[in-house]
Amino acid sequence: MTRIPIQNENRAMTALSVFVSAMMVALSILVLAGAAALHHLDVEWRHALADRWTIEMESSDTLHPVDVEKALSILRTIPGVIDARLITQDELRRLLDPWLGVDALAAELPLPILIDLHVSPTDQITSSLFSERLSAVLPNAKLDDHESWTRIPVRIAQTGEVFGLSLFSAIILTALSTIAAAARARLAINRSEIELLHTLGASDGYIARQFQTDPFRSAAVGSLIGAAISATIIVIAGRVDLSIAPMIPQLYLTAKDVAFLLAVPIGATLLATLVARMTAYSLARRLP
Amino acid sequence: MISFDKVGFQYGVGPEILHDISVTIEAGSFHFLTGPSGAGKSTLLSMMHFDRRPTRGFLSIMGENVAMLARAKTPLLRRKIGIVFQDFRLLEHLSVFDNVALPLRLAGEKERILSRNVTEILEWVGLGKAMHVSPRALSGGEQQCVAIARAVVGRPGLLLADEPTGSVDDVIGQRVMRLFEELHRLGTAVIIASHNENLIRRFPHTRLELMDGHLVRIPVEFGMKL
Ligand SMILES: Nc1ncnc2c1ncn2[C@@H]1O[C@H](COP(=O)(O)OP(=O)(O)OP(=O)(O)O)[C@@H](O)[C@H]1O
Ligand SMILES: [Mg+2]
Repeated sequence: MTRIPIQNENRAMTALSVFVSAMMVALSILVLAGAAALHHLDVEWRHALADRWTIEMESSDTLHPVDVEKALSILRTIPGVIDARLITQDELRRLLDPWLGVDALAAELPLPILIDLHVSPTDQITSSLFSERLSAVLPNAKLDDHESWTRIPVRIAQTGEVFGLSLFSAIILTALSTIAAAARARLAINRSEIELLHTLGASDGYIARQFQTDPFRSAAVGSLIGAAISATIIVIAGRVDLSIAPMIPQLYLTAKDVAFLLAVPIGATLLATLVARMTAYSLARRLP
Repeated sequence: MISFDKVGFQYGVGPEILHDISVTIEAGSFHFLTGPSGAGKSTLLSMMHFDRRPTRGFLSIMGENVAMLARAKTPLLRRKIGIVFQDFRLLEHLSVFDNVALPLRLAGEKERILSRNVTEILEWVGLGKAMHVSPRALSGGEQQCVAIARAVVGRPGLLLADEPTGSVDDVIGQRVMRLFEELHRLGTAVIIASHNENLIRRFPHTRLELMDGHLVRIPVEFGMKL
């Protein structure tokens, strides 16, 4: 099909279309990337500690090693427990070194006794059943299934995900209405062209195709710019070293996420083209 | 080529403005369509261009029953009909050349052949030198010549012209009329709606006169005396 340069050129409108698609695509990608990274965090937090419980007792003085051994063997008989292991004082000290320092004062600090439990998360063992059996051997032991302290960050991550997805929906709605308005404005400007083409024997489909080319080009250029902007921001954000804050794990995106994010500029371009095409088509369709 | 049989037409729920129109337009004929303002000349022409359908009666154009015609078929049929409007309807952001090339590009003509045909037709209407300017730079008469060139560049079998001399002076009007006569000699059926009596009288052709919604055929010999 030879393309007929029928459309009135409107530089300001073309520039606006490019700008709007660039911004919409950049915002969508950033918001979705953020939601994906938070999702990984949330899943990781929930899984990483789901099979690790800890039993904690005040200090070693009151506790006889035999009692500990007895407690361990009882714990191992509980269904769902894969392994129970005493964390030695040396191990504990090593774990705490970065927090307490290695000086003499720290060395004298009484450390609690910790038993590391490896449980099977699928077996649905309840902590209440546990406490019951445990209190028989180790009356002053406390069970920590870590859920209490992962609950808050997990909830924050999940709220972030929901927030990101709502924001994305809002962006999509805004983008759609902007695209539709731009398409209608463009047709209003070119109304006499459309009527003339129709009169000269152009089919509805031909007219629609003529009026999709420019929106396609603006959307494609804008989407590329938007994708480049967001990619730059994501790469820079990925370089920021979060390991200084030990509780915050590194945010990351998987290859699947990236493929999914690449669909945003492609989808945006196709959507803009489709809307422009359908608007022109419906106008042509109304002519006799 | 065109056959009206007891055709009536009304706009929406308004009164019927054309009653029992029965007329046959032969291929290669030449007709003036006359009548006072508001008689329905433009309406009748638009029916011949598939822009309006009769509200009753039977209309057949180039062998197609208009009432039964599928929408997908009309673009192809329209391309076989050239049309000239009183207000030219040229696209100002395109050059004269591109305006005239429009029908050929719509028909998917190759650029090489198209270029030759457009150049030839523009020379024929006397605008060979103005090919690459914008229609805005032309006088009203010249613009009408561009519109005529666009209407005939696809070598249509039928040419419809609605008041083609309405916005040009008599000298240009006569030139425009000669172009139409030349086309007619080359075999195109021509229908010209006009109420420019001065001009009509100088060209001996059958008149189709619209009076009170009825169409009367006035043969040449008779028409010249009016
Ligand atoms: N779109 C329309 N809707 C309703 N009525 C219309 C419409 N177009 C024309 N008419 C009416 O139909 C009648 C015929 O109009 P038409 O334009 O065909 O006349 P005409 O012979 O071409 O007149 P003129 O010589 O002034 O161009 C007029 O009474 C006009 O008011
Ligand atoms: Mg009229």
